[in-house]
Amino acid sequence: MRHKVGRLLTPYLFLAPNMLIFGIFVVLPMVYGLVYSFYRGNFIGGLQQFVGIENYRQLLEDRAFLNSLAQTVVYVLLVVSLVVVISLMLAIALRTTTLGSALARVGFYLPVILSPVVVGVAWRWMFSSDLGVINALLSSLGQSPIPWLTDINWARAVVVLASVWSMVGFYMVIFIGGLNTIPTELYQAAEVDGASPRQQFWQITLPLLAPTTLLVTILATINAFKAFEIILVLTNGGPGDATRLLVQNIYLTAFEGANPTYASAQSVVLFAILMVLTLMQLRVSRDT
Amino acid sequence: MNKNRKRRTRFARDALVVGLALLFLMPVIWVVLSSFKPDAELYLVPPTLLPREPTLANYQNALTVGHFATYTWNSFFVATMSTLIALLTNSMAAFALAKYRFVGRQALFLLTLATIMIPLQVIMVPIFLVLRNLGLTDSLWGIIIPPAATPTGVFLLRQYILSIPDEILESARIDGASEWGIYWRIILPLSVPALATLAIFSFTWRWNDFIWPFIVISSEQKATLQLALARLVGQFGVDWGTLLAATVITLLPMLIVFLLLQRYFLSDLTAGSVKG
Repeated sequence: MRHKVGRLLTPYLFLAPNMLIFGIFVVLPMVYGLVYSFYRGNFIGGLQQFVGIENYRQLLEDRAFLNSLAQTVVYVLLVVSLVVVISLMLAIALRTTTLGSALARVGFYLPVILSPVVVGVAWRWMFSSDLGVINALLSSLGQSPIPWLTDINWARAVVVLASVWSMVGFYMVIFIGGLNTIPTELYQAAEVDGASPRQQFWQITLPLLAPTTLLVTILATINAFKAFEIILVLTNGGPGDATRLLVQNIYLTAFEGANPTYASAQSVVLFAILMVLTLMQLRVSRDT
Repeated sequence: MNKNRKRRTRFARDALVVGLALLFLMPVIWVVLSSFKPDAELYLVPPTLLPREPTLANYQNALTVGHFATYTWNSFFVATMSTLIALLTNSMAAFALAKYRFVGRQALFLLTLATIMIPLQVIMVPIFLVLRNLGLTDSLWGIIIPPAATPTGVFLLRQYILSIPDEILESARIDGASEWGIYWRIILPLSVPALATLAIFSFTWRWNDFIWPFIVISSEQKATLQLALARLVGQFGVDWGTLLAATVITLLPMLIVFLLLQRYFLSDLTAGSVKG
């Protein structure tokens, strides 16, 4: 009898450590965050007053929040479209099995394994207005230097490029996987029929790759919405707040503005966006 | 003749793509090259590509004056401990999910997978409060334990353990092995390939983690490399020589792991699990 109870408990005991960590450090904070978003309070006194949806209502009039949301959307659109196009081009160019392609694949993938902080430092070192090598090259060519990280539009461009640079290798690998599932007979048949490489791309590769492209688009969108560290190191959200995105705004609201409840409402908005995208991703990955 | 020409165009193509990859990697290459230049050469116009008088002074500064020896140890300690905890807890959970039938199995498995949907960016405010209540703020354990229960790890190991035949477990039970004995002496040794994969990924994730230490660690001597780098770059009048050497110290272990094991990273089987 005792033995049987023991057997019944065994799987739960094996699961316990992992579930305990999940419960305390993922599920509990998630519930906390949701509850917090309906309260007013601070780090010292805790929750002080239930305010219903007041925090959410306030978000609709909060210029700093709406600004960061709008900037995030533009950033996501730019990063994702560049990532999809460039990683697809890389995948098509580098899927061959030659030594050169293999080496180039490793090269284009390498930034993926670098930490976002390292990526930020590397790009800041190249694009620094007074000390960076890009401006040094420009001035030795007789051109005037460009304020890469202190001009609003240039800073936004550098932030987008650095992010794309750090991501394309990852999606290139997924695209290569997708390309490898397209039967080669299709291309042979197309060649026999006299289809040009361009026709083959538009009429075979792209349509058959559509599920992979959709998957890459969603994954890249999720990652772009979470952007924080590279930008923190590159521009710290500046100049002004020109490159301040959602996650940084949440951080600043909570820890510098000492307003964890209001920041929680912003987190819930971010979570809702990511949730919709993830559910889309699960559907797409199941269908492919 | 024709074959020769084909070979030549293929060689030209290979040279071109490798050249483009090197150009693409310029931001990293430039950091590495610059880190060996003395201060005077660092800001030279026009810039030199290779260091004219290569020096290790920046590295000496980073490790001694800049305390990067301490930060390196902290990062190493955090990544190693968190990986060991992940290997143990994830494999235990994966074993239960793969080899036992029990009430709530499907629900617990889905719950585990669902936590992938909750990135740290979403819960960074409440997690700070939870860690504070547990007395884990400004402690290395505060960045070691919470990320150890990786859902990706549980999933990866579960898939692997599913392929281990039940007959092996049954005959061990008949021979009188305890359930823990089965896990420890049969499941773990047979899962070494999957455990190795998880170990590699877990170590790189934890080494590269930034948001965890950014929220949790406040004192200087407990900073990890990522945190120390980000703090240093934000200072007014950055000492770039030290900063660049510190950057190379930070990226070097990842570079070595990646170059040795690039097939793990570049296979599309694991590509989906690289972020976590």
